[in-house]
Amino acid sequence: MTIIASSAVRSCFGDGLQTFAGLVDGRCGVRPLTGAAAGTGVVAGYPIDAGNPTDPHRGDGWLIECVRQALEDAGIEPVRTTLRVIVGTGLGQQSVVEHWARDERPFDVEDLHYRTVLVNAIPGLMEVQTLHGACSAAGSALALGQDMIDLGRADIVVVAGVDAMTTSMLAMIGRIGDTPTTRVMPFDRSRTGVLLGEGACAVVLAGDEWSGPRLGRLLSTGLSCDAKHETAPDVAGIGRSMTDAYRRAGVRPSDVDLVVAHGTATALNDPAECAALLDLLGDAAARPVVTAVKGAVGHTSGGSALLSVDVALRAIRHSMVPPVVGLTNPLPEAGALRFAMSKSADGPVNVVQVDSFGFGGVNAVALVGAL
Amino acid sequence: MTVVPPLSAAGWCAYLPNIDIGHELAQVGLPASGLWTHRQPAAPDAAQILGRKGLLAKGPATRLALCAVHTALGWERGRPAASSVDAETAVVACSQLSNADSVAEVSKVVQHEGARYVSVLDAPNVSGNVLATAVALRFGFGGPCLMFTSGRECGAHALDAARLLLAAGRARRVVLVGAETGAGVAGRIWTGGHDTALPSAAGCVVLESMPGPVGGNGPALYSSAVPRPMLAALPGERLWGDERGAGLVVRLALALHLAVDERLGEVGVDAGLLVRSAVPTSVVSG
Repeated sequence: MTIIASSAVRSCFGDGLQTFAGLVDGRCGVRPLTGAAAGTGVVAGYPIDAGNPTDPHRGDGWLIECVRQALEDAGIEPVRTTLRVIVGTGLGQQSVVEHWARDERPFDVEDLHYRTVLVNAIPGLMEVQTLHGACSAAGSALALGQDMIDLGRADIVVVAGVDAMTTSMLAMIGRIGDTPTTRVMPFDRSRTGVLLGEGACAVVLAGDEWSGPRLGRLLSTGLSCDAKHETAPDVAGIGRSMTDAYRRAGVRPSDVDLVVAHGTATALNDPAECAALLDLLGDAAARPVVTAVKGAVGHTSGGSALLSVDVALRAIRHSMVPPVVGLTNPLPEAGALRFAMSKSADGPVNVVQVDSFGFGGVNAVALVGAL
Repeated sequence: MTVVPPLSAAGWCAYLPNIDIGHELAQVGLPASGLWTHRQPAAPDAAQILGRKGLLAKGPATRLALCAVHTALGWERGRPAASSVDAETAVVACSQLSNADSVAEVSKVVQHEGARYVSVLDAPNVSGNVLATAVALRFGFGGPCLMFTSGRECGAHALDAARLLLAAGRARRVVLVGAETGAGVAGRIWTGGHDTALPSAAGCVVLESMPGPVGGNGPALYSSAVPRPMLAALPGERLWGDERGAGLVVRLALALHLAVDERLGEVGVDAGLLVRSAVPTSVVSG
């Protein structure tokens, strides 16, 4: 059994507590963009309002902050503990390459991953892996971390995620659609697409002999790749990651209480995710509540899976499900799925499914359970 | 000490288009024949290996990776992309600069012309894992798809992840692939901080769990915690420069070639790694 000992988050709303409060209150963190967005055609997003918007390393501080907080909350001193760190990211340090391309700003190739950043900031850290996995990067990292613990390859693993906006990804988002999207409306009939957010997250995973703090259980993470299209999602591929998660956990889909969906509000993702959930849940489709966070905090890319895990843990603790900010009129493909349209407290939340699906068809679905 | 079980190697390829592998190996007293006496097509000529379809907008590192995987799988030249999905095969890739060209290009277009002139064909390329997903898409690999970009250690992290995926039952087969390109933006970024050029290189090793008793079947990859005399070993120094993200996978593929195709039987790679053919057939002194 894998324990989630601690969790730390940074989003446009602030830390984990502030983020969950913002979600529960139904607030939207969208605002006009500057910095990396200049010239991209993207006018809005969910940036973290701190630091220099043109700093190519603006995400590093958030990552350090979250890893430090997660270790502190778990009562771990890195100098006394052998631990492994896996950082999941979608865009990584690509801003460094962008700045080099624009103004020939030199850099060390070793700046393109997160080992130096974390080892220099947190004494005692030794091994830091950087995993690029688009929007499901942190979910994939979660799977590897759990496998390390379950197979006895590590006692403690820190799984983290981080992404700041890059000009190149903003430019691609700006090329989708004729008019700029002004906010994210997950699963809404009138949705107009995705906007980027910024964020960092970290969780500490430990085995069942762990005697420290415990927030919840990581039941499993299912992984798959669509292998069908470079950008469009595939229902069958998504479905494989879902069934893999349930098979590994030994849990039935009909036992899930809450789904924290990927919900990017793109034309293709939301219907595909609905179809996969309906296939998975069958007659139990109306049982779980479905929520999604990107309407409130934007798409935080590589770290989004861990942000959703943090929401899952707080929903379990408080028996409270935040509403889907930006959703007023669910899309027809939703069928029997039951979205959280207002703050709800429907009783205990024991099993939560967390979806994350990335560019190139990389899928990670995690199941989080109460203690 | 955790015992790391060996892995079975079902296919391998070191893809080094600008390097005369036979000559380089001979320089350090290692045998090279037949398979290594002809040059492999460079990235712009990848269609000679892969066929003409499906290469539009693919970056050079991605092309090299596709060529390495195609060859390691034993596919004939020109065989088109897979038409079905194998959910039991995973991809684990490693690279440091694989999409630097696309990221830099898009950024400059935005700066000088505006986003409306950015090509949508570059959309997949601005995601850092494009190399891994391109391999999965072309060859129909529907298992986990991971990409490590951890600098000098990314090959080791990728190999570690391949072991995990097999041990955890997430895949029956793992295609481990590393690639870097020394051309274009990646090459210029590299030479900005190094005295030597970055070789264009790709390696692929197809790994499976050991099907039977250790040493009882085909070629295998071992982690040796205790240094031991090697029948042969790749030289400690780089043969033809630092291949960065591709380095370890290239060296594993080379070692497998030497152990099996050149019949050396057993070849050390980096510290703690050893490849061994099923039946060692010759002993190399020194």
